[in-house]
Amino acid sequence: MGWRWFHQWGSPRWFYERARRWQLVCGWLALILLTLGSLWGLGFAPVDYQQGNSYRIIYLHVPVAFLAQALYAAMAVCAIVLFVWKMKLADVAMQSIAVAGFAFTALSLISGAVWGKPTWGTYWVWDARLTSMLILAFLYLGAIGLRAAFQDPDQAGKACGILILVGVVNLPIIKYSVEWWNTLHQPASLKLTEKPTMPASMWIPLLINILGYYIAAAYLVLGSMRATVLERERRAIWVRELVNGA
Amino acid sequence: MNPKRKQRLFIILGMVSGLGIAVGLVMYALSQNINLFFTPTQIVKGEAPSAQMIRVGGMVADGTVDRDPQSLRVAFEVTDFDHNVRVSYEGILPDLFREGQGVVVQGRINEGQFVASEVLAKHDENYMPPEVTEALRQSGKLDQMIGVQKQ
Amino acid sequence: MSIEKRMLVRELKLIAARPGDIFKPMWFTLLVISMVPLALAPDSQLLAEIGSAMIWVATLLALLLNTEHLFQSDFSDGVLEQWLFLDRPLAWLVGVKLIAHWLFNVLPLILITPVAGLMLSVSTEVLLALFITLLVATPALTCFSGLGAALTLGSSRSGILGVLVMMPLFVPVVILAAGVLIRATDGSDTLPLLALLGAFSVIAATLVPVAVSAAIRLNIGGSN
Repeated sequence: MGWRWFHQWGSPRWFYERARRWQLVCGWLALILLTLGSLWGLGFAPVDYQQGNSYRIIYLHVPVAFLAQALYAAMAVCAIVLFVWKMKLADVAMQSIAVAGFAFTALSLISGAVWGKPTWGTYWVWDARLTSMLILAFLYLGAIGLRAAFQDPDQAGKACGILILVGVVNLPIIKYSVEWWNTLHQPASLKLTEKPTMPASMWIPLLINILGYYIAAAYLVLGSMRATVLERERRAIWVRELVNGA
Repeated sequence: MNPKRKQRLFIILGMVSGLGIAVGLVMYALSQNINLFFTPTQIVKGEAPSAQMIRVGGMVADGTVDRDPQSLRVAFEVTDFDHNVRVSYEGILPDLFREGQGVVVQGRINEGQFVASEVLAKHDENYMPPEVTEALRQSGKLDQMIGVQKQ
Repeated sequence: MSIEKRMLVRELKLIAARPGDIFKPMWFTLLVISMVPLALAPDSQLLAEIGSAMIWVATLLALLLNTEHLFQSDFSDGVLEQWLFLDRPLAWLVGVKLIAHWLFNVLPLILITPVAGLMLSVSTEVLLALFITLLVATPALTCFSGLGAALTLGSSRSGILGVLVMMPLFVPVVILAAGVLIRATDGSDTLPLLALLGAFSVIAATLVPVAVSAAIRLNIGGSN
């Protein structure tokens, strides 16, 4: 009985009916947090002693880069759920997360390049973290491309799952090798275990924005998942009733 | 033992020994020095290969930046607070380049001098408002703080 | 004769029937190598400096080229389905197939690198390092590109996709190999990096066949 909360997720219909409400909550919450965090960070937080105003791109770059990595982990969890419990919804989530993850990775690369120009003097360096982000983007592209090559969604989902799991095992090795190869990027300013290396007037808006972007990502993924569920279940009776009734 | 089980045993043994070999190889590699990135101390002690492209990281030593007014040529010393390495460079320096700033220079060692082909500023992970920096500087804590960060 | 031995003999017979499959990737490597001086400059100093890296990349591409369809013919003539009925685990058979492929298709590619090295005036020590790196690294590369080939088996529009999907996973191999070559150029100790490279190959060889067998199962199950 204790597993009920988990097995509910096996029903696409159950998910579809509730996801709309979750999406609405996420959407408003993200909007409020992002407006607050961005206005505070861009308008009112103090300037940095070395980088001046250009450091403010941190309020976009850091949350987006966090998400790029977190979404890959989320995708891997979905792959495990897909293989162990054969849950269709996990595959739908994998598909939606791959697209969102690629978008966030691309955004973090672009915002990083814009930041790199004034601080490092170049848009792109073959630095460890930049390179591993680029490779992460390629891994996401692989998951998207592999899915597109199959006609049968179940088969596509399983193939993607294998790819993602192999990628997850390999990611730490890639990260380690690339770091050994070249490092220029500064260490992370925000760590869960340590005191942040910036004053509260700078990191509070950053934290708000990180939270905001996480919730915004949830909003995007939920929306995309809802659409995918409808498409995959288009032959199910409840979907027909839903479409005809509307 | 029936053949099926024997087979399974062999597979498990094979995987375990494969992973064991891999761990052994990694342990051996990590016990050796595998860096391409050097500190000024290592360069002064001659631990870095000459003639090969390497990277040196450290701080730009105070009062050593020497700009040629006629050209883009510049010379400075990179320090890790133990030893200094003289670096010569020709080209545009990044905005963040200044005395006391962390830099990464890429280039080759040439007759005791480091000829850089690229200079990159390494900004640290400390973000703070200018007034805080000023206060820290007056109390002399900034250098101490940055010094601690760098070691 | 055991199943493993019969598989190896079958691979050899297939190659004897179509020897072109081996020679095309070798031909490709040499062509790419001869394009380098044409595109760059016939300056032998410069060529010697970047030569080893060029040979590495060319060999990597050739390997991808001939691993891309690793399981395709076995898939379409039903051999893979027969594998499922043998009294051997599928991962083990996949392993044998990968070993056979490495021996008969990848090894020839490595054997011609001295010729390529001469064309780019790479020094003997670097050439030796290059040769050893390729020997140590190619098992990992073969495993990963084999996985790419297996994943895209059932898709009608796979093309080069299997390769593209696996490319990012080659990063550690390429970085470590380049490290070995740099060290060989200035005469420092290459053993620690070769050990890391070897570790990567050993891990790939133990774990990837399992993933490949899962990929084969899903493609056989789903396509009919």
